Amino acid sequence: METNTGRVTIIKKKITPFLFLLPFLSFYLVMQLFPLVQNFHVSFTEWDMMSSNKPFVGLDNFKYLFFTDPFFWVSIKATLLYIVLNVPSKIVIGLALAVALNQGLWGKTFHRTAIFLPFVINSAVVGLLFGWMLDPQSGMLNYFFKKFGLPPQQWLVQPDWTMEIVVLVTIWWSIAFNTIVYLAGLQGIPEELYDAAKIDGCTSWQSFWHVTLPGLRDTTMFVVIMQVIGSFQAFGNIWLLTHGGPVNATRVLMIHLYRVGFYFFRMGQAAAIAVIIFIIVLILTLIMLSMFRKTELKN
Amino acid sequence: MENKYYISGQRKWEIPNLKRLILWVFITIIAVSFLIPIIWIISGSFTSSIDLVTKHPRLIPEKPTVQNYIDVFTTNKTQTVGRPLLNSAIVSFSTVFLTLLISSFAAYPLARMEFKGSQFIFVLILLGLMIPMQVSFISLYLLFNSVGLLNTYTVLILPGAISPFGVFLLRQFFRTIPKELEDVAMIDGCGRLKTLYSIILPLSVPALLCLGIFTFLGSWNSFLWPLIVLTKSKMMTLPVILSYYWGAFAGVNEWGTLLAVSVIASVPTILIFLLFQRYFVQGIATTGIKG
Repeated sequence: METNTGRVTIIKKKITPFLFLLPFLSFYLVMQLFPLVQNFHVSFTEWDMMSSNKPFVGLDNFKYLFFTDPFFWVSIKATLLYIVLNVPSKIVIGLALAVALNQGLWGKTFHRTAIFLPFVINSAVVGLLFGWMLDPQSGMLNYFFKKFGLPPQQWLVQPDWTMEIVVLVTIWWSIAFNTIVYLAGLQGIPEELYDAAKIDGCTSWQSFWHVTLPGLRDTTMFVVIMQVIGSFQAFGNIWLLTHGGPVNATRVLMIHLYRVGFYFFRMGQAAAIAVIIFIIVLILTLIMLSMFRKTELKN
Repeated sequence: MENKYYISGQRKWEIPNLKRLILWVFITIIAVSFLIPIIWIISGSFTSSIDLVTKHPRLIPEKPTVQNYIDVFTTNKTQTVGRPLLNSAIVSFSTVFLTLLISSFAAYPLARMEFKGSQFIFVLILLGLMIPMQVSFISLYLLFNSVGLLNTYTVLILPGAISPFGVFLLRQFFRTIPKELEDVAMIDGCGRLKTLYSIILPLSVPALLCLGIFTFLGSWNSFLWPLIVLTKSKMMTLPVILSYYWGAFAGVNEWGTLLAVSVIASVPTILIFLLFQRYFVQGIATTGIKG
């Protein structure tokens, strides 16, 4: 009797953690890990969602993307342009705003709230809002253009400036993230360093250059990688403003994937694009992790 | 003189006075211009569609009207906004509830029990932190399609409720709770389950609130996944119906209707942000989570 209940408690002890983990682990396996693996499989097949058989075609989907698809390289180019315009400007502006907000100026709560607020607005509203303001016929931007004697522009209809506009809107929408991360970074720089810099006769500009910026190196690295990874997944903010147009000027990778997969139902090709995005993001993540490890070893 | 630069402990690096004034002017202009699009969308929603097209733009409506709001709830040409609003609310609140429940259940043994394979499971969850959801959307869509669950609440709620980030966040937080409190409860005869909900969870309110806020924002604003899995208009959530309205109404200059729906879609997240700004900022600052 005694040993029997003892055994029951031991078994209970062994099983309990798994009972707690069961709901999460089962759904996690079925809905995240399995689809990830399955996605590789789909990328090696050809399927239009209609036919019952899914012929295995090896690397054909990838070959098609690299050598035949007229839009794949267009979308790579658009993604890179998006990154080049988006990442550096958001780093500089995010840092500048963080430094300004960190000064304890009068009304800083208002400043902070106003600058962070757009971040919680959903991408559909953001797209619609700016689509409205930039509407060539009834939009207010053209109204002000006319008022100041400038020729009204076909915003978002002509390919010129479209990516720049998308990036400007994205900055307004999401600068809160960089600003908050930089604010945390600024507050992590030890005060003694500034004291020392002042004793050495540094002006405030010099101490910014020699204390603040080096102190934010890790933060910047983190922000850059997060931003680049995010750029490869950008969809809503671009889709709603331009649908990838005009003339594919803003057809970034995720938009290409969505078009291929859910307009033309070429699931194999869409999965191949997903694989490519996954590999890029994985490499970037590994680079980030190894950089963090290096700085950790140094300290 | 020394003290001028370090008045409060929070400020670490300061700019001299005149430059501070210039900086103040700059940051105030930036803050106000950040607000202008939001004010504009609100004022536009209280202006009739005809005035929006024919009159010149103004920040405060000349003849304020609630007609747009009445229209979107009653006589809208395609689908009234009531159902999408309800769908969004059901999906978001269920996602938050399920995320908190499932994540705290999974986080508890990882934080507090010793068992074979705990390291492996933890690494598996960390792996999930690095995988962007979007790359598995194709096969996830095919999976839900094959079991006939497209256009259901299940397909909208379940994938969002599985949060490796949530498990990670709660595990880290649970570990900071003193073990003695738990031991006392166990000696009093509480089982693991009771200890979790009577000791651990009440002490973890800040972490649960933080996770809840970001889950709500993510779910309410979620766009690509609902766009992929929804084809029936009665199941659509607000962001998706908005993109459909846009295609239908922008061409015919029904901007008033669109702006009213936009305001309805934005009010909950703005309210949550204003109420919980501190948690929102701390969440991003300490974990780097994206909304």
